[in-house]
Amino acid sequence: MNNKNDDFNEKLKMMAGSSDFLIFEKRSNFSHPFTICYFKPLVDPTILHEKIMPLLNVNADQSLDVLFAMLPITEKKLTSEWKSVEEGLLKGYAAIRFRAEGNQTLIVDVGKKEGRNVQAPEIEFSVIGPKEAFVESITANLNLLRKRLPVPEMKTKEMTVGNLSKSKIAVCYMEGITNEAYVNTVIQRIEGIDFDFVLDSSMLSEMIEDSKKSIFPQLLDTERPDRVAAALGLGQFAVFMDGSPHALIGPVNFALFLVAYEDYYLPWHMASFFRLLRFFAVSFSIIASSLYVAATSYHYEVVSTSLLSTLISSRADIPFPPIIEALVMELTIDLLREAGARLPSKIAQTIGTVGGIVIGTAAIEAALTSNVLLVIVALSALASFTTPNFRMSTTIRILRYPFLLGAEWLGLLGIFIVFAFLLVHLLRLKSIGAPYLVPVYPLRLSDLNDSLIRLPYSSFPRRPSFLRTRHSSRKSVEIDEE
Amino acid sequence: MMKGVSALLIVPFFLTSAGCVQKSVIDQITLPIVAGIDKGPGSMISVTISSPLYKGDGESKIMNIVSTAASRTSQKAGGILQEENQSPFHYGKLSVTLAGSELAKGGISKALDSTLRDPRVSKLMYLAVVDGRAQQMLEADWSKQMEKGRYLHQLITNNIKSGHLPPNNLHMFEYAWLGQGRDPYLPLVKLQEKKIKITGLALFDDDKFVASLNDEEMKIFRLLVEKTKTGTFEVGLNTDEYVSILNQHSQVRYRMATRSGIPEFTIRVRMKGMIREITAHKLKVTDPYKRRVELELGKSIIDTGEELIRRFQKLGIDPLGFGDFARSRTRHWDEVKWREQYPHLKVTIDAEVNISGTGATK
Amino acid sequence: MAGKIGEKSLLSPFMAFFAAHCMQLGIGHLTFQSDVAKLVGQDSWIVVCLTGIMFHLVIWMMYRVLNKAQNDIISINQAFFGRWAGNVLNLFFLGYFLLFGGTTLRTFIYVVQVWLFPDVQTWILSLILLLLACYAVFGGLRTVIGVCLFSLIHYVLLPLHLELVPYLHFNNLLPAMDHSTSEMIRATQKMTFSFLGLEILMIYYPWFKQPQKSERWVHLANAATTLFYLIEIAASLTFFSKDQLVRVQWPTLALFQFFRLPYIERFEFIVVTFNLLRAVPILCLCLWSASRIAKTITRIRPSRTVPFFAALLAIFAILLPDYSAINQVHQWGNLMGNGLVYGYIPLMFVLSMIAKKVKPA
Repeated sequence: MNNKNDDFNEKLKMMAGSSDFLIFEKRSNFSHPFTICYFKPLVDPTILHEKIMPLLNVNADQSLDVLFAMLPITEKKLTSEWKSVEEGLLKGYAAIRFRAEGNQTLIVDVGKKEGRNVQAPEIEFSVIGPKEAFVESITANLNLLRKRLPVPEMKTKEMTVGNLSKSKIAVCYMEGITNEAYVNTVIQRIEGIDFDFVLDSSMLSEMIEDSKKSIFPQLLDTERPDRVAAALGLGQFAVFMDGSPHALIGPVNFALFLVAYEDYYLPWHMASFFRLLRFFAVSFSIIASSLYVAATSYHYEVVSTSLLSTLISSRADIPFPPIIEALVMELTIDLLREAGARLPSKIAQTIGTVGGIVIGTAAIEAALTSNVLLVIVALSALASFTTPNFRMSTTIRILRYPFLLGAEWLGLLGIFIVFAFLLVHLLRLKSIGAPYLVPVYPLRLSDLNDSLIRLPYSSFPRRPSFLRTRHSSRKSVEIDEE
Repeated sequence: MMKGVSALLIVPFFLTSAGCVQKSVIDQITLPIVAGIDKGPGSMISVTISSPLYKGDGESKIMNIVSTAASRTSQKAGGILQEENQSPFHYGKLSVTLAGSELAKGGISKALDSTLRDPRVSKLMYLAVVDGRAQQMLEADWSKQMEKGRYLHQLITNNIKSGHLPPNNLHMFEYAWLGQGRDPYLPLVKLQEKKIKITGLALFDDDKFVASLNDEEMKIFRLLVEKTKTGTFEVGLNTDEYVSILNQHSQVRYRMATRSGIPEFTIRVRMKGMIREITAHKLKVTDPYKRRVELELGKSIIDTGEELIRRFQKLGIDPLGFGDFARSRTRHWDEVKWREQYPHLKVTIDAEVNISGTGATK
Repeated sequence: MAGKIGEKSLLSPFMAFFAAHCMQLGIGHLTFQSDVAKLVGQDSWIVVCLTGIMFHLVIWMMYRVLNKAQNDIISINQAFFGRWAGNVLNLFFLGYFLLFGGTTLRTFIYVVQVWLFPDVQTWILSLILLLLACYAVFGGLRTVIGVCLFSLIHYVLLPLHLELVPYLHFNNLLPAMDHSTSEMIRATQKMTFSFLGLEILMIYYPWFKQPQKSERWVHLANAATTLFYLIEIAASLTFFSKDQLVRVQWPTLALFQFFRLPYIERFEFIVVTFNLLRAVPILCLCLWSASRIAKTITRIRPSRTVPFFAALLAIFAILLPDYSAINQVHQWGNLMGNGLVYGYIPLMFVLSMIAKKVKPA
């Protein structure tokens, strides 16, 4: 017993090797000496001094049990295991020990809650609809979610990953709706992670995705609590991570990445129009410049004579082959974008517009690029920004390079070959075991009402069938199962 | 990991082997829009090509380059032309081919073979017969604003769309030329004092240019060929009183009846028109007056039409496709027998004109 | 039977539609109009209908055999003819599918060489297409049929045929039934080539959930093919005069010249590239079934046989130098296909009617 006590003290001493660890012993005036220790940067001194110290000073003669009951703080624990003490200390708890009670330690949360307040979403901004976004604190995020799903069926399962970062992770799902197979898979994959730092949900997402080689995101990240709540309701699961303002949703399919959540707040006609627009924008942005390269280097026949003369005149003085011209322009756009992302936002805007215009005009005047191509590249860059999901939009920007190379290699045929490879890749891709191209393949007609178009809510009597939900009816009245 | 590396190695491999496919970067090739073929010395054909040379922005900076070469095959001639041109010729944009009348009289199909064989040449290309030599026409200076080929292309397109020229292109020529019981026809163009004019229709027997129709005959011919929505017709009522009628809609229908072995044809033409102009003083158009105009126009359609058909029969050519029509209505149709019957066919035209309006004046 | 197929990898029966339909719309589709019109002229459309009906009959017989055995043709052969002779027959099937894939590959490359790039090397295109096919086949049957589904994209170009209407001569379809029965039979034989490919369902049969339900989807696929061919043949017959049609090498592609959009013309160049998407699923289906047969006979893993067969196809394609050689192979394919469809399947049908119960091999 005594031995062990020494052991405990030893360990505390070891921690005190770090100069921000405080061990405060009070023994002179009292018959019941006690120790209190904590990491200075992690605790909130106000709580410590206003709530705990007065109580301790008065009741030091009581046992820890009594003290435990009296402390006006919810996060507290009475333990004699060093491991949980250590964990607590590292999270901003204070450990209180009475010499008389040996290893018995009361740990109590006096952590400083540093962090942002809930703000409006920046990436998935919407004009209509709620304007709350997740923050870095998982408690705050779960709070935002619970407020939208006040039912006991919503379950969370908490875990910790990262050998050093010890990040807290919560997997949320709806019991009785979500297919457990998906939840079990994701939990298994998270438990299987063996890495020192997992700092953000995007890192986590890369670690638990089905295909790590693919450039397509296979889990949807979102900062909108309403989107997560709706996803849970449909039978998807969500993964939260402490320290990350984005939740991951899965399983997902390709069409979901082109959904801006505002689509559900707009009238369905407009929502459908914008979704189709986005789909065409994405296709255009991927192949526009490669079509230009194919047409100018191989397929002059396909272009009508009148357009052809415009094309030829615009290219007449340009010394480069079309592929170099296009690659340089595409890289320039990516460069502007990257510069914009790295610079403080106020300067970035200037770089974006002025840089774009100046470089564009100068490039044409110096006969480095044709004005037709400039228009195409600018339009396709614009089109790529319509993708609501940031990770998908970067994927789409990268995708145009293989298409450009394909166009250079075999013109239209090369584009088609690259397209076919892309298609097969997408067909093989899975998100937590669910096919990526659903509802187009495997064809699920009933899911098409909320894919590239959004039909009115009255046409959604069931949850998407690709999620294989336990309970498919979305209404309180049962509808017949097929 | 190795797989990924080897996959990456494939990319430069394909790009380097890309050299084996010939590129045709649009500003580094010459794109002839119009070509002319003529009879050359001896059994040779002479090929003339006119292609635009673009210099920077704007149509005004377009130069036409015209070059000619003669050889036994048009492909060879193309090779000779290539020797004097700085960038390679690509024929994918060829939109008009002109045939000199001398060549056309001797048969056009040999000269056209390479065009029909080349998948890059569009079958929508126009063919036309030049009254004179094609080379002369292409070398003349008649199009200042526009590249010559596009000018000719638009000229023919517009005459088909809103003029009297019956629709035709390389495909339709080939259709009639190869089709049984049908002979082709092409527009006939002429260079008149630095202007190009479509003067009528060149009629072919098989692939030989044998006769031509003038402008007026072509108008009636078109009515017999297809449904039309264009064209203006003129009827002379007196020596100084002419009425001009706009064709709003015309329909044509063929009927065949076989009596005593020889088929008899009836062509029914129905036209709905509108009076556009009357060269008479202060005239009020009354119903009897309308009736008279209708009858006059109908009569002129019948007269000209029947006269045309008689001429076709005499020449033994069948641009209207009576043979084709007979084939579709006869079991085991025999082309040889048909050729014997053709000059003796009885063809009647039944034309009716209905004038529906008189324009803004009564 | 080589291993039971896991419940998870079973496909829903309607996917049989895509497999059957894509397999049928192969190379035959590009040329059948001239081949048939050469023999029966304006009556070609009747031949198309007749062949379509024949194939419905063939499907019906095929499914009677398959339904009774509840297994694929590989095991049925082994059960009927004994292990040895059955495997010889299976090898014949393997060869047939490889030939099918090989000719498809070479013909599509030839089309590319004529229309797009006269100087592109055969080996480079075969290599890349077979890489693509292997990539898809390794993704499993589900991926292969997914490729089939997406290859149907070429139907978006079908409405363009409406543009042809002003050029059409409907008189060309008359007089109907102006040819003798023997001519019609010969033309039907020719036409059979364009309908071939359904036989592949005999390999795929056990991969569908409730496989007997896939029958109606295969019928539907055949009906769709017939309808599509009817549209094509009607368009070609009325668009070209007979002698012209006989001279045209690829009528389907030639038709597409006549469409124009304000800035795009010459659609046949786009169609040639769309055709690529039509060749890929056929390659995948053939490779997949060849490796399946190999697996059942020899128990070699598909991951070994698929690259091997792909290499065979590539060599086959490279060895065919010109169109006359390709045409020769088409004729063999047609012969084998005719024998298979009109000889083998009816025979199996009769045998399976006689046999009381098929014993598992």
